[in-house]
Amino acid sequence: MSSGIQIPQDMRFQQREWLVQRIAWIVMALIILAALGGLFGYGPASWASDVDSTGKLRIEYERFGRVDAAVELKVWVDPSLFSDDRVEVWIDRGFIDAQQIDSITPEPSRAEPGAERCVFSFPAPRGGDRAYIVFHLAPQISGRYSGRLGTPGGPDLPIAQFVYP
Amino acid sequence: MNSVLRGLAIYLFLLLVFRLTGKRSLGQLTAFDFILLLIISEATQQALMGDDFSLTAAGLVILTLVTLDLGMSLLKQRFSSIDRTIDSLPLLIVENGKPLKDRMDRERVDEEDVLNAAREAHGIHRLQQVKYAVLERNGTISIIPAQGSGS
Repeated sequence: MSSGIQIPQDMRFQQREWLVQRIAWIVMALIILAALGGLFGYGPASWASDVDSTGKLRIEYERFGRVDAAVELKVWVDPSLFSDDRVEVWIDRGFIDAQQIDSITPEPSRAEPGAERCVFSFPAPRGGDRAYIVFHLAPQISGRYSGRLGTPGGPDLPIAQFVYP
Repeated sequence: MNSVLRGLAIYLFLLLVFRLTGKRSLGQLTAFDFILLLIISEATQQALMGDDFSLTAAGLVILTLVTLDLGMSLLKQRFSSIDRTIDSLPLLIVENGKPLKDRMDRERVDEEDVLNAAREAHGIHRLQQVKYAVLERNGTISIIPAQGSGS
């Protein structure tokens, strides 16, 4: 058909193009839904929490991060894990080295940069309250990072994060 | 290295997205499309530069984008399969005054769009006066009037 007009036509190519486009629209919609769900950070699929078997150490963090985008790591420590009037939390270097620490709330009174793990110590809250610490982090390099977080001589928990570029 | 990779990633991503959303996406720019474009460029700019706002990084990104475009145009010229994959093919949507409904639906073009193009280009006011209408690769509709319908 349409021999009267000189344009390059290829209906088989055209049909394939339409098919690919329809599939791509579905894929794009799925990506948006996944993003809403938190697959690319900040959303239900990204929020992770973990408690050790004794219930004394609890963490909340983001499974998925993006380079330079802020993420939080929240740690709750039971008073029975305090040493004297201090709370100490260690994090594996394998995890913390991939992060830029924007701030820690409250400010740690001391940070020990060990080769394997970083130990942060804070003044313990008085009156038998749990200690609540928030690390404001920003991943610096894309990839998967895992490690453990714990208290010296106490329980520890695995922590893993995938960072998108 | 980062600037070049960022340029490459953004170039390929935008190429893919705009190719896959179809011919009509930006062919006829409405005011709102234009605003969308501005927003897209704003969103892209951050990812292109990251936190490196140096002259060197800007130069490298620009050089990467322009060189990629140059390379792409050379490839398109050399290989027709790449050409049609990147830029698609023109599509006949009206033949001898008869709209090819199936094709128009798939490209999200309706008769009104064709008539609009016909009015603008040739002052044609009826579809019967259109011999051919072609949806071009850039999303515009070109009209070839039927003989004797005036131009």
